[in-house]
Amino acid sequence: MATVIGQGIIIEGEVTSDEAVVVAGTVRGKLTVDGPLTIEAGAVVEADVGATSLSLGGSITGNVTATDRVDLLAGSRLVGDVKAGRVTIADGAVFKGSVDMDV
Amino acid sequence: MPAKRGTSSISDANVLGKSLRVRGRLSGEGDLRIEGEIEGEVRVSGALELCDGGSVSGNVAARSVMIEGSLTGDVAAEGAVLIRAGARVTGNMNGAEVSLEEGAAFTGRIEADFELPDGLAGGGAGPRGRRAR
Amino acid sequence: MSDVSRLGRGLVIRGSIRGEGDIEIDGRVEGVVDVDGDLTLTESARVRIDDGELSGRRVSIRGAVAGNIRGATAIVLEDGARVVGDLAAPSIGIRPGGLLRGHVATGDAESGVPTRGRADRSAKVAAARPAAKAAAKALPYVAVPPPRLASQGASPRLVSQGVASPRLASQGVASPRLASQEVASPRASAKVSGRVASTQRNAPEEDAVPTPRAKPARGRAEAPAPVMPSLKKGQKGQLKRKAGH
Repeated sequence: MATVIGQGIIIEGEVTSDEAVVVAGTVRGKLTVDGPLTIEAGAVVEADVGATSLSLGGSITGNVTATDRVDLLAGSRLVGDVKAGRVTIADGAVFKGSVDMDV
Repeated sequence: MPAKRGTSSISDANVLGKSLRVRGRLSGEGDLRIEGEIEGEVRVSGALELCDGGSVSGNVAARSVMIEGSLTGDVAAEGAVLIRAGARVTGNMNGAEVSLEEGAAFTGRIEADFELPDGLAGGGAGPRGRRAR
Repeated sequence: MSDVSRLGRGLVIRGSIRGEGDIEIDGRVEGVVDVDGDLTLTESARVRIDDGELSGRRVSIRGAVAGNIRGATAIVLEDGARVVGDLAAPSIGIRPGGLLRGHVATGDAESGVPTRGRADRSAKVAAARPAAKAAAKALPYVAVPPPRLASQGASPRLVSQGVASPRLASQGVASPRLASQEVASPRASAKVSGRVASTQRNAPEEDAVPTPRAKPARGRAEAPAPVMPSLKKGQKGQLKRKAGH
């Protein structure tokens, strides 16, 4: 029963989930997922983000903490600090911030 | 044996005929089927059926209530209140359960008997204070 | 593609959800929901509206909601729904098993003011009363003729067919005072006691319907002064007898 936040939806506030989340729309505030988080191309997240793993195709402005891995795909944009066990930044991803892999 | 009118789920009912108008309080044991007009309070111990074409201006109390006609007044039922699609109702409905068919014209409060789960109670805007009766 | 959102069962949102697209809510929301799309709240949905409404195009509910709900086209409470709040939509349905405590106004005219619930509701009920009374005055008084009924023995029929012709009033069948006549069969299966004098609905209220009458008594505060000795001149009082509210 995954969560999908569709393209036209804007959520402002605190979002927490104990299962996988896919964001195609907009989330502002705070986003915490006890599971995999996918942010699709075109999606906008202005929030601090926590997840077990993050796959970013869209845009995040905020700090990211992942217990497992963070993958920034081509075309994605991240402005904020990343704390994760593993990090990949694809060619074409835009990233501004620090990376801390000492988790 | 007087013929039953149309189909009625109430058996052996008292019937207020279609061309009758009553002004005054009406009460009794058993079921009641209203095809005419009543202006006044109605109270029966059984099931009450307000048929299409019938009308009541007054409060109603019964074990269960089914409305297809026109009602201006409050309803108090021990069991279920059912408002059918062609009904026109203005008043407050109290019952264990209150159903409303789409198409009914309804204005008033509905008060079914239940509790909200999971700490939801007490949320929101609106006249929720009235619950504390 | 991403036109349909789903807020899963394990999701909790505290804040606002707005925008376009249909949403299925399986989880918990506290705040406000205002979308231009269909809203479906499944059985596990728990929504508390703190400020505003749960608002969508067609709103279908099987879960629990505390807060007012607005549907641009329709609101339907399905079996399992538990809602405390006012409903406003052109079309409103409550299926058997759907439970509601709140104000309901169907049709476009009313859907504009649901959140002013209390004032609006009492205004409507107060408006309905004069309408009923006006209708009352228009009705010809018809007396039910006891002799006819008595001859039917213990028939459960309250009024027999054929008696109730529209011309009955002009026949002067019974005296205008019905008050003392028991129309019912010996089994007393039904009783009609007409109080000619008190056709207003507020008269039979002494032992009226025992449950809460939401109609406010304030419009009728012509109660005799002695009942409320502490009432100052000009103050409107609550009629003490109508304590069922």
